[in-house]
Amino acid sequence: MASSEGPRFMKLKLILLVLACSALCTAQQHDEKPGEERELLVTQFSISGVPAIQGLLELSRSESVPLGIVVDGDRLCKTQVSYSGSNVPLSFVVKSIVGQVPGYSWERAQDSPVLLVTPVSVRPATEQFLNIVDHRYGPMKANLQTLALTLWVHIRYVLYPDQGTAGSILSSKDDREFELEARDATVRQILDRMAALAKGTWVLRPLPPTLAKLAGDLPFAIFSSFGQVGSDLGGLCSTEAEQPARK
Amino acid sequence: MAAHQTTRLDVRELVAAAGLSGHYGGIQFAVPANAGALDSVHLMYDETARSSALMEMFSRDPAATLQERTWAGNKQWTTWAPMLALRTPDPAAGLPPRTVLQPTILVRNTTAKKLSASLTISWRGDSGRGQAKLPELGLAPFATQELQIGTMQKQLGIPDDAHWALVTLTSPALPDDLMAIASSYDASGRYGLETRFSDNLGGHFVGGEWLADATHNTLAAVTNGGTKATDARLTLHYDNGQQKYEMQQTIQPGEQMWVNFADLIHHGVPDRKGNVLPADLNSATYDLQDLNPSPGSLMQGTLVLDNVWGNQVQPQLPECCGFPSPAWDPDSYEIGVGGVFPGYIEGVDECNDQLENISYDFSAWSSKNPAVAAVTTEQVQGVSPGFTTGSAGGWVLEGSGDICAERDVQVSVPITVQVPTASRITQTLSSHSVNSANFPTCTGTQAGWYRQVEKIVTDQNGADIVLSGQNLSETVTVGTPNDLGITGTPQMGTAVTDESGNFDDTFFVCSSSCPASSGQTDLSQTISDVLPSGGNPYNLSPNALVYKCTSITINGQ
Repeated sequence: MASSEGPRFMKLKLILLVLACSALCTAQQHDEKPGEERELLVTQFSISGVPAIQGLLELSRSESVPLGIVVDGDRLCKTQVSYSGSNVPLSFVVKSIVGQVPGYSWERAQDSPVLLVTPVSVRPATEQFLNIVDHRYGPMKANLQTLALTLWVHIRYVLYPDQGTAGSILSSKDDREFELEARDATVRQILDRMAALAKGTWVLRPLPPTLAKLAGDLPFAIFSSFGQVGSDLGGLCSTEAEQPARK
Repeated sequence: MAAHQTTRLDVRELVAAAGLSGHYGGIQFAVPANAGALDSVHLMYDETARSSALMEMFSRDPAATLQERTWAGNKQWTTWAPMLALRTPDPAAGLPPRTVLQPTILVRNTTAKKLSASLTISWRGDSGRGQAKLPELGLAPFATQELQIGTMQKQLGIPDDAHWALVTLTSPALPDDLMAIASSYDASGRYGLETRFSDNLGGHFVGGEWLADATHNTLAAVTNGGTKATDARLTLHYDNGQQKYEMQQTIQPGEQMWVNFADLIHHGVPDRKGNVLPADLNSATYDLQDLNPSPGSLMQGTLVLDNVWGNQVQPQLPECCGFPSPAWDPDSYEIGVGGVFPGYIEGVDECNDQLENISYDFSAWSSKNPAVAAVTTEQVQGVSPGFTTGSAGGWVLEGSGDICAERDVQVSVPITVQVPTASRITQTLSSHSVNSANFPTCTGTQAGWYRQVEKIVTDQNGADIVLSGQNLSETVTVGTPNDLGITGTPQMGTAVTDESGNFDDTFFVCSSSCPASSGQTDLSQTISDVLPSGGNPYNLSPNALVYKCTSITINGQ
């Protein structure tokens, strides 16, 4: 059912995307506007011979800066990188790390403080996923896990409106809660908001060729000092978020 | 002796009948059983001097051990006479001018063995303080030896203007093998003061009353009999216990804190909080506390003086406050493998009913089965699932009237080392329908149910595991029936239990079949628990989840 309806549905979403980008997103209202803030100076950061994705997560954690990472293939997970420097702009550190990974680049998000690390050539399914528009997200005040799960329920509804989602969210009693509301925002924009709120990193795992084959588990993860949502690094690097073939 | 009988003995007649010579000696009576049923009073009177005295008699337990009666760093049995009046009386004592006292110490060997003893005199007076050591005493069996301190003062380097002395007697003998008394009377026997030898060191004493009226005054000395400096707090209670006056002082080993009750009142001496005693106050009760860990190293001596008759009113001896029934806190343990918990031994101070940590008195901490739980000083650690008993052994101060003694005590505590086995709901935090309008979890045309519960992990016996830092994760799988068309079952993150062992679990379902469908989707949830100590995760018993448009139940709850 999902695979037969998918293409028609994707077209609809792409049209909405244009509208979404031309509208003033609620998601942007509280974000820092790039260029208006002085760039963070990294006092001291050093990594040696670690997978690039691990190095980027360490940078995000140690400097409390929001990052967005799109994993495609295994280069980001298998390329070992090193860096050592002090009193340099954050973008310089990101550039130095990403520069060691063939086929990857970085850019500053146009509408958020998030630095994005993506393949030079992003696959269509990935583009489609990140550009899915959620017309109404929130308002809600919840821990990071609930925020991410809610986004995933909404994404699934957009992709598979006839399929239900059920689950369970374990959480600690002292989990930090964040307030988030967005209207007509893309998945990438909402993930950016979450990363900015939690001063962490969202990571999109490799997706199947078509979104119709997306499995039920979260295809993205969020790493933050306030908690981790979704797969760990091993899970993000090892498999595609693909639904098992149906008989 | 018959029941309730009193027998009067005339010492002069006894001495004559026995053909004894000399002018001093010792008396003892012994009973094979029921010693507590007998009491004795020894009076001496001098018709010529028109004076009398209540002679000290001591109880002696031949079975008393050194450990029961000696602590605070003292290696040999030690007894102290805290307020020996020297030749020249302190004007504060209220004796007539030019009275010259004859301070005397009598030491008696109560055993059939030859015993030795060391005596030290720490004097204080107008010109300062000092210490003098007397020659070693050697006492033949049952011998009594008299030490005329007054005649030895010059030889010992004690100046004439010294008024008081702390006398310390130390002996390799067992407690009470030696008995000693110290007194200071003038040549006529009319005026005099006595100070009692005692080995009663303690951490808390209560007593009274102290007098300071037109005809009385009270002098007190708090002695540190230990080998380390300690902080003493002496509290006076007055106005029917409504008011108090606190003095606090660090006392070095062998040193004393002196108090002149009348001076405190009449000179308006402020206490540590700035309070002064009322000018018309004439009596108070007191308590004395050693602020450092038990069993305490303080001793309290008091002289209540009669300014008219020039002698002392026999003061009531302070009550020694012990801890009669020490116990573990907590009184049982349910802990996980690797879990480390504190454990204390607490006792109730029998004088003020306050609970105090007396773990310091316990030196032997052990586990009946170290393979299940390790027990070390003030700590219990789970090693492997099972049940065992933890123990702590030590010497605890036990008061018996004015006598302080230490008692060998063993206290135990049951320990269950828990295995994470299942989880249970402690409370439902929220439960309601969801749709895109009323709650943002579901979106579009989907609707469903939302339920948030608080949970706790339980052990092999169904008891809660109250342990923080357990790392929990889960897997959720869809079973049958699946009337709500669930294809996505994300498993989200982890939880870490709080100090009560609690964590939250939020269940939700969003389906296009809701809210109309009366069907259900069954799921199975398995929670994995990694204890704070690490190691392999424990897979808890699976929970049966039933999701409907109008409810979510967990194991039927």
